[in-house]
Amino acid sequence: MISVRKLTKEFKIPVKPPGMKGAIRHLIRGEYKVKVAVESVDFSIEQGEAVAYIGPNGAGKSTTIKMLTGILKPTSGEILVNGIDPQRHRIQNAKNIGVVFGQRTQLWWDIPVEESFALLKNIYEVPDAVYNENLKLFNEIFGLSEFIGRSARKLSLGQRMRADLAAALLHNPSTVFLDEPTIGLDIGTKEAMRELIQRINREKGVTIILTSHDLKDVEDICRRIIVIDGGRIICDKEISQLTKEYAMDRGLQITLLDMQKELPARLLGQEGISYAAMEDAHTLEIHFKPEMYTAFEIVEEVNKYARIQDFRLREPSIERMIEKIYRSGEQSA
Amino acid sequence: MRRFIRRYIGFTRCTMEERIAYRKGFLVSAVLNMVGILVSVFLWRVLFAQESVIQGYDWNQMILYVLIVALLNATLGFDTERKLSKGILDGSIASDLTKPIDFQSMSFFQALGHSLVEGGTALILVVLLAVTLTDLSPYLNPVSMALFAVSLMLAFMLKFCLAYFGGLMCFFTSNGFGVVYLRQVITDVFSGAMLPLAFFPAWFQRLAGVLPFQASVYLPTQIFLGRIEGRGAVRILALQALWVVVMWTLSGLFFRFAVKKITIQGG
Repeated sequence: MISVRKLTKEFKIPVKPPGMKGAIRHLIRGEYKVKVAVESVDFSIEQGEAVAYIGPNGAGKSTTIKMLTGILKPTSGEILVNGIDPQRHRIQNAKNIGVVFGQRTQLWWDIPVEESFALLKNIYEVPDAVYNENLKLFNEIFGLSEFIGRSARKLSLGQRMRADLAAALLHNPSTVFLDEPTIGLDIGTKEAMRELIQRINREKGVTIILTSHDLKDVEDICRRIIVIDGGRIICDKEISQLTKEYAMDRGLQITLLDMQKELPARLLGQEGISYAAMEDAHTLEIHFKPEMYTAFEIVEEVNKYARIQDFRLREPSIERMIEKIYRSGEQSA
Repeated sequence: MRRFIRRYIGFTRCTMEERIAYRKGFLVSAVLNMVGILVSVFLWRVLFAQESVIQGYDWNQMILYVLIVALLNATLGFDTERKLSKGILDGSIASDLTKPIDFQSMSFFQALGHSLVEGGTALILVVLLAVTLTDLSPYLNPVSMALFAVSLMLAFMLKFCLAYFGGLMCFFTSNGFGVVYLRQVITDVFSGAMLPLAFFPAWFQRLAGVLPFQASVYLPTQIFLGRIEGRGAVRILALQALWVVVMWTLSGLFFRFAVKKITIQGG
């Protein structure tokens, strides 16, 4: 179980004026400004939950993960992971967690993967039976035995990420943090990664905290979404509830031949239209209640104000919901 | 204790394997060591052509001094802190921090693996040179050899602590090379790696005497060369051990303080 209360992280960033003169000035009297990466974040996660922690680049996702895993010290606020303060009792906390940073590897670069695994087995003092059982599972889903004898340097990205995920799970952690575990992977590898994560979540009751820009990961693995933007949490809901709230509306994307800046405002005034905005100069995104309009009626309505080149129906998807949440976050910010 | 070693010894093993995996780099560093030693030997030969004893060292002693310094430097040189500073600066320290291990002990066991490989080859080189260039017979008595062996081990641990402490500076400077280089220069001068401390003015020797560096190079050589014997030698071992304990503890405290300043970029 994880509980986070009023968690804040500030970074001091050097302000360097441009040019040589600026560089010298900074050297003599460094100026810094404070950047708030995570601001007063609250949430709690029960054992066995699978939670997606998502947000645009630079939203504060990784910073939060790094605080939860005990790497970064929070500026203020409180974190308890399974009852342990991860920064103060880093080593004790580390016994119960598994971590994958998709952008880095924890494997030794120049020696066979199985040597890295053996090292982890020693560090975590994993009993032989558990170790072998886990290797069997990873083999089944990942085909690990094909490349376990090779050094990490010689693996493809897909193989390396599979090995990295396996490495993070060798010691049966009760909580697993996955920071963009599928970044840059092909579809087949992504599927395999998702399958393993799903299985340890459902069969072993392992808590999963996942950040990813691939919403298919989110859809397959998680039941709950926490959205962070600009360091603040802007949404924290069960996916099923989100679907209820957002997916009742249908969406249309209409390409217009002429610029129509005032069009969204005009449409939004009408009952049954929940959302209307210009995606770019010529693309109108519009969401409406299907019990009040047919798609054809919407097209007809828009056609009154602008010439339509093309239109397509947008399926309700997590991706669209997230888009909407990001946008509403921007508006309220 | 056995459990502790079982958990950490893998770092030694993996580092050794990794070091050996780079066969060419390994050979190059052996050749470089050799060249470095020979340059010093030739330099001293020129100086000893004029005089038979310089600052209390005769030719034989001076060459042995050079060889012991070379052995110690090869055993634990740049690499420990280079690895450490790299990890801090590029953020790969993050994975290590998510493991249930003491970072300092981990670094020590890694350094040990490195040293066993590098020190092993350097030892062969140094013994070969010592046999060809010097007369070893006055120094080969079992008691002083045993004292020297213990002194070498303590020197290794102390060198590790100094390098580790220096590497941690990167948490504050975000410039790896500068810190490593500065530490290297200070260590070379004050440890006696550059010249025996007897060559420096009295005030400098007094200063070096209260710093930890001399215990990592100069003092072991004095034991081997029999310049300090008996009780004096035992006192040196005690002083070395004391410095190891002090620097290990200070490094631990420094790490605990420094790790709070950590800012890992990106991702």
